[in-house]
Amino acid sequence: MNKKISAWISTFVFCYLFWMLLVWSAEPRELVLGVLVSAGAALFAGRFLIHSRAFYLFHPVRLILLAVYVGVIFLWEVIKANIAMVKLVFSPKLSYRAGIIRIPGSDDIRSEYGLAMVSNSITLTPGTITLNAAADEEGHNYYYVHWIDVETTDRNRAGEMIKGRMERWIGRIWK
Amino acid sequence: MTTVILAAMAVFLAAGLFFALAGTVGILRMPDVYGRLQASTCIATLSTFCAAAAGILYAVHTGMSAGTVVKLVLLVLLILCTNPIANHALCKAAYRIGIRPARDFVIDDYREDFGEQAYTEVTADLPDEQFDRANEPIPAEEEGEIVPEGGEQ
Repeated sequence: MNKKISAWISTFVFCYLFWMLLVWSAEPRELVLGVLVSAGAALFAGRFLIHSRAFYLFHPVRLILLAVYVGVIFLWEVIKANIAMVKLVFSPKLSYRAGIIRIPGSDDIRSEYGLAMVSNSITLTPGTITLNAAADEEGHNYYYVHWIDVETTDRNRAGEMIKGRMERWIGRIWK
Repeated sequence: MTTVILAAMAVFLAAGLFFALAGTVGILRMPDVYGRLQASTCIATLSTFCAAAAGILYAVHTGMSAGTVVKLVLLVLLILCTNPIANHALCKAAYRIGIRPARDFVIDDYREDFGEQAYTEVTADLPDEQFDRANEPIPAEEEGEIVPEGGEQ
């Protein structure tokens, strides 16, 4: 199928779903208005949102994995990191050792969506912010992460500590 | 049952407020922009989660329509999608316009790999004196070259 049209359809379905959830009524007026608004929005936003494999996420297993990831794995990581951050903030001396460390990404995750999701998950856990995601000549991915409390300067171990579990789960959703 | 729901709601609200307080205290106490950004993430994540959970419990308790619950969940998802992008952009921009941390970085791979380019790319086409370049005195010979605006016309 034409790439532009599939991107448009994918964005349209996403927008319409969003509209239905927000409106939460089955009146014909709302349904028709939703179609018009979603079609317009998809026309403008489709090429920004979808770059490749437009229907990749419309797959029950991946959607369930995504829900489990956001609702359980990611939530648990966020809670752990939040408690560590609270301890740091309320410690009287405020002693921490900040640094920017380059951690290697998994070779399984190649798509833009996967990279963006790993980066954003890292940024959302308090204590780590992704500055950059880059690839070297051989195609290995790296993330440059600002880490508020550098526990180890060994890059592989730091990567495991910062994103190990989250990345494995994202690797099951995006390739 | 009602008491249990109300108690759980109170606990969630209190937890949300506590994490928001921690984030705010962090913003005030941290010495540099990077630390402040890190502390502010507390407010956007667990604080928002807890507040939304309390809202959901309240909606269930007062018998509001399921639409309210869905709206609250969507609200959290929207914050989860947009907040990290703003945070990442702020942190990277702060680094690239040359703001140095209050305490030296233990390790700085970004500078090692991208070199001075990591700083100069953005400052190159912007007038330097508009930026507060912490810990970096302006060289003496550059100071003399600054022509006051509208002085020689």
